[in-house]
Amino acid sequence: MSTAPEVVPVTRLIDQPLVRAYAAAAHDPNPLHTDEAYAATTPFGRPVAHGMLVLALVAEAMTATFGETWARGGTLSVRWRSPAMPPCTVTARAVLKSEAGGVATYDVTCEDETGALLLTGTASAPLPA
Amino acid sequence: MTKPDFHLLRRGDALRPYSVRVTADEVRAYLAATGAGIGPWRANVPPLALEALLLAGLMDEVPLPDGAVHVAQEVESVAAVAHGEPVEARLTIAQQSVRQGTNVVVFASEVWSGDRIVMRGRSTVMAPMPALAEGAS
Repeated sequence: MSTAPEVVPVTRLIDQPLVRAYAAAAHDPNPLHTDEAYAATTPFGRPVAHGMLVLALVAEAMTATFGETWARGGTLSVRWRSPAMPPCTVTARAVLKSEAGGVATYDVTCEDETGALLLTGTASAPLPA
Repeated sequence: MTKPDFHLLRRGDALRPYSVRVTADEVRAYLAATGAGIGPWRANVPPLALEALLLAGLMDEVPLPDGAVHVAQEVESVAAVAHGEPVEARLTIAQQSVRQGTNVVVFASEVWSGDRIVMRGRSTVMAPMPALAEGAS
């Protein structure tokens, strides 16, 4: 019988003000995220959200479930599949994949409101003793 | 000191270690910028906030070329890091390859607090190879 908790999805509007705030907080000066004129010269054509900002929603969902334990044995392994174009509403989900050795492993995804897959991977965390 | 050229990095290369200290103000700013609440992070640094600021340090050490894209990330948080606790990032190049004109570099990181590892990570960055200079052979 599984003892791994369900992870509640996190949904958030990622808009340009949030992206600018993230660029400042993460000390990431890449103009691809914040400069419309620069972004227009790239294959994306417009600013894209930081991948790490999208991934932060997964970490938030795992933190809500596992609390500070997430900082003591939590893992993430993800690949970004497509860019998040602000404004967009992103939902992070974690679905239990396996439970072994006192560790719960989840398949994680982030999708935008159109269903476009932004990120896939796995997250794991130690289960309470 | 000359900074390494992203396109000249090769597997096994070690970057110069650098220090990071994430303050309580930086944690609050990070959480606000991701839209999350303070949650359980009143004393410790969220692992992904630490990773984000390590990446900022990496970009200081190795300026990324135009068109660089962060395509994959692994993080293993071994132990909690307190607000203001100094840690040292030690990075090596775990993989490097060129595929269809794109240079793919995997940075492997270990983050140390004193004599203990608190985090491990792998960051995969892709960037288009610079065009060959005219007349180059």
